[in-house]
Amino acid sequence: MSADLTPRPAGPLDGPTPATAEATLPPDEMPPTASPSGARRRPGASFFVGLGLVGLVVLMALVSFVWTPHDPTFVDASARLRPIGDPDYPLGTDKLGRDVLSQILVGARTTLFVGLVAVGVAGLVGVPLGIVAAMAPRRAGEPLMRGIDLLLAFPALLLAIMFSAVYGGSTLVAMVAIGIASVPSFVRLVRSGSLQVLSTEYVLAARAAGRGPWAIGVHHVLPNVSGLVIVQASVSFAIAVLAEAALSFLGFGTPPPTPSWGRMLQESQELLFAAPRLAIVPGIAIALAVLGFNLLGDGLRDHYDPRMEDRR
Amino acid sequence: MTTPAISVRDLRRRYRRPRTSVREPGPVVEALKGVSFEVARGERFGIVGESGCGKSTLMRLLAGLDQPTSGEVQVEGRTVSGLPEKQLGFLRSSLQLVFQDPMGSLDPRMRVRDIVAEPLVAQRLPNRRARVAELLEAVGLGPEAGDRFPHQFSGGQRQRISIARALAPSPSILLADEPVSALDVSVRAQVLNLITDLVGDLGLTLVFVSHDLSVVRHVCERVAVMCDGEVVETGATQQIFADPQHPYTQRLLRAAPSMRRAIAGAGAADLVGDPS
Amino acid sequence: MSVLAAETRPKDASTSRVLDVQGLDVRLGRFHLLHDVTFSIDRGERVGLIGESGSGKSLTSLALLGLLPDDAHVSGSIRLAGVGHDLVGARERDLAAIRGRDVAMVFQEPMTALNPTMRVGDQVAEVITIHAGRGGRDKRAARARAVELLDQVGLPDPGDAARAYPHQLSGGQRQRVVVAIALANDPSLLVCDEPTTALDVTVQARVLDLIVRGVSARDAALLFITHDLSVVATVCERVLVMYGGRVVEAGPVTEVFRRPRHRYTQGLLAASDLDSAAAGGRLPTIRGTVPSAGTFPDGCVFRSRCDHATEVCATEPAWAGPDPGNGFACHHPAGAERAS
Repeated sequence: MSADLTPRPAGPLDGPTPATAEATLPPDEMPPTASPSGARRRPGASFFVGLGLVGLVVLMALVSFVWTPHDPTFVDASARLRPIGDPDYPLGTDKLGRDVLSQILVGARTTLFVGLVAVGVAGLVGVPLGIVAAMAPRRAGEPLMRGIDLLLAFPALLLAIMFSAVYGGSTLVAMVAIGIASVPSFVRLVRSGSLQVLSTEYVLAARAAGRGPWAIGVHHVLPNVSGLVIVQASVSFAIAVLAEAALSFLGFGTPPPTPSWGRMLQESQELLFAAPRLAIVPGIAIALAVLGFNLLGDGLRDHYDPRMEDRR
Repeated sequence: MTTPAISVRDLRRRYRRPRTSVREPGPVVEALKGVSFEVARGERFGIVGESGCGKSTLMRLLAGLDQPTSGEVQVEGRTVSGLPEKQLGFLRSSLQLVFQDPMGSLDPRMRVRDIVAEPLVAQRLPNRRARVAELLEAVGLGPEAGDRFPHQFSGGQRQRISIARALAPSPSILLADEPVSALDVSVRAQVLNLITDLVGDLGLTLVFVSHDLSVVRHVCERVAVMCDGEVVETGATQQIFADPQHPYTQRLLRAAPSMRRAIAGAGAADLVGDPS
Repeated sequence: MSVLAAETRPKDASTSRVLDVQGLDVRLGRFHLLHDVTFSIDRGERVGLIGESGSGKSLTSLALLGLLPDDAHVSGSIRLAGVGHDLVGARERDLAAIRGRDVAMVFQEPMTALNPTMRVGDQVAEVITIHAGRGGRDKRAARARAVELLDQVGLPDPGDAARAYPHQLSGGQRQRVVVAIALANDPSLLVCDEPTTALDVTVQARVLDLIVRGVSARDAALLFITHDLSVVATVCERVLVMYGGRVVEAGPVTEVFRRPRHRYTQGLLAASDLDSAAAGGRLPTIRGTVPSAGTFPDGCVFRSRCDHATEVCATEPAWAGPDPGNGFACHHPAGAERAS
């Protein structure tokens, strides 16, 4: 700290001083004990562990585009059911002689694709609907929310199975269905967040400034609920990954021969006692990916949740 | 006679509270029970009252942010109440607000430049960049302040930003809702000076709402005392403080702790007055 | 209102001193938040602690109750009458036994100080039974005493009020309940931290009156923390002025507020004296704002905002005065020219 008698080291706000000379001051440097809302907290350990696990899945997917040990769909009758640690097949092979490691790597692509589609559908539909539901007059907002409640009551997997029955089983169809099933949670979250934003004085000030409802929705509500949306997206991502695995396991998800962690599990069923590793390896992959997205969501929640912010 | 800046006639506002019982609908709360007053152009007008007296409801009605159940608000001779938002353009450029909470009234995700420019953008006014720099200087912040976010400023500085935004569309009327209640004593004096300077220099009409009698007494020429949705007393500040007529005004004045009376030996019991 | 009767509990009768704080120093991380805070309060004395946000006044009150965060480094000593040990460095169990019995606190926000899921009568009774010892844990008696206390703090229909939940009461009534809880065990020291800041003027008047009567009837010591100078002047006999984590001036209320010596006290009084300034005219101000924790200048903490500061202010001013409860720490005190 300087020992001279100038008010404080010349801050960036020390501009021309008009009538009110006492006014120009450097902005507060916030002590760690009293960070005001707006200043975000440093993310915790769960954030970094989650980020690491998610990063691993992304890395696996990226690597699979340029290199896999073997062709994941190549059926090699001479190399069936190799154990873990085989010099050619580090994670062994399945009953058709396909390399498990290669399938896991390529399966990571499916997992991410699944998450992106489902979360994309849910977010693109759910976020605008949530903001509209919050801003609409009561007589329009209420029926919308009851419709959303109805959708929420409908099991996501059942919806996906219905979609597969109607449109044919494909990863995309299943995931659009899972995405639609995730819309209600986005709508409800965004609506409650938006209602909170709409009750603030800065929205009142914007109205008094002459801003219309569209401008308020885009410039004030959306940026201030974005934190909530990011948290919900990462949690929905985990749900979608799990749902894809479940659907593939039931035979309604990713059709063969595209490798998918869920279908690897399904195919391992008949050999569950003979070669449990065929279930354990994709099982661990799914568990780590889901854990990763959930931890990331938790970490982001700590980071963004307005209730976690310290008040001055 | 010239048209008054603000004219309020028999203003009433009822709310229905959310229901608490399955059988009966929520109770009706009467926030304003027929309020009438006029504010002359260039006048500094104070509204004093405690929480729940209806002063916040009144502010919203004056600013056209809410509709009255009955009665009328006129701003500069034009009717505000009952108009849809699309026809309130004249009000948005002639009347602006400063709020109590210097953090809550600034969007934490927006840069100060965009906050101050918001009325200009909304009303499609030209020369936004130059105007924002001019406004920031007028409230005693450097132009560099525009690049920062609200949380990087102290409470007093945030209130300056809020004042700069209110002045952006060159309004003729400023509504200030408890603008210094959340500020420290030493900063409060700075912000009060800024408000009185600007109101004087720009020839604004000021409506100043506060629960703090000493602040209203310092700032305002005329005062309306509100209690339970009604204006119980209106008059020149000097007169009301020297010789309050309504029992509520008398009670309010007695209850406000004063340095002068305290040093003269008044204790807490003297604030309560009548033994109730 | 009925006279607030108090049962007297045997206390250390040899001295009238209730609280003695010596050289209290608090560091949190790299921030030195309290510097050598020294003061004492006698039985029946009402002392005000004033300062703006960030001055360290709330931190001082938390230190008195041993409620500082675990990672805070605290040195110095806090002695309380009737307690055999120093509060600084005491174990949590010992502190818990003291809180609510020997020292009680009233916070600013009455809603958060009360448990929203518990009837207020039970909350008053709880604090009685907690400290009653094994023999005195008679729930029925505690409940009767709770109703009695609620009556004393002026709640209408105390019997009904005891069965109410906090949200069913108004802000002023809630603060009365908080005061009743604080006074339930006749503490020797009551600490009030901005107890009326959230209340309306007329409600504030009644709560202030209640607090003053409550401590007078018990002959308890009161430490009243606020930023409102006129409230302190009304309630207290002595005042401590804090700035930058230090006590910069102390003395009798009438003395300090009539003839402030420290330039900060002087500036604070001038800035808050709206009655003397011409209506609509300019008010005297203190330039700048209170620095945030850790950014106060060394030497005199106020020199970055002081119009009288010179080179000598880079050195820490010594305490000028007969004792820690009476004096100031300023190189260029106000009124020095008159005195010499």
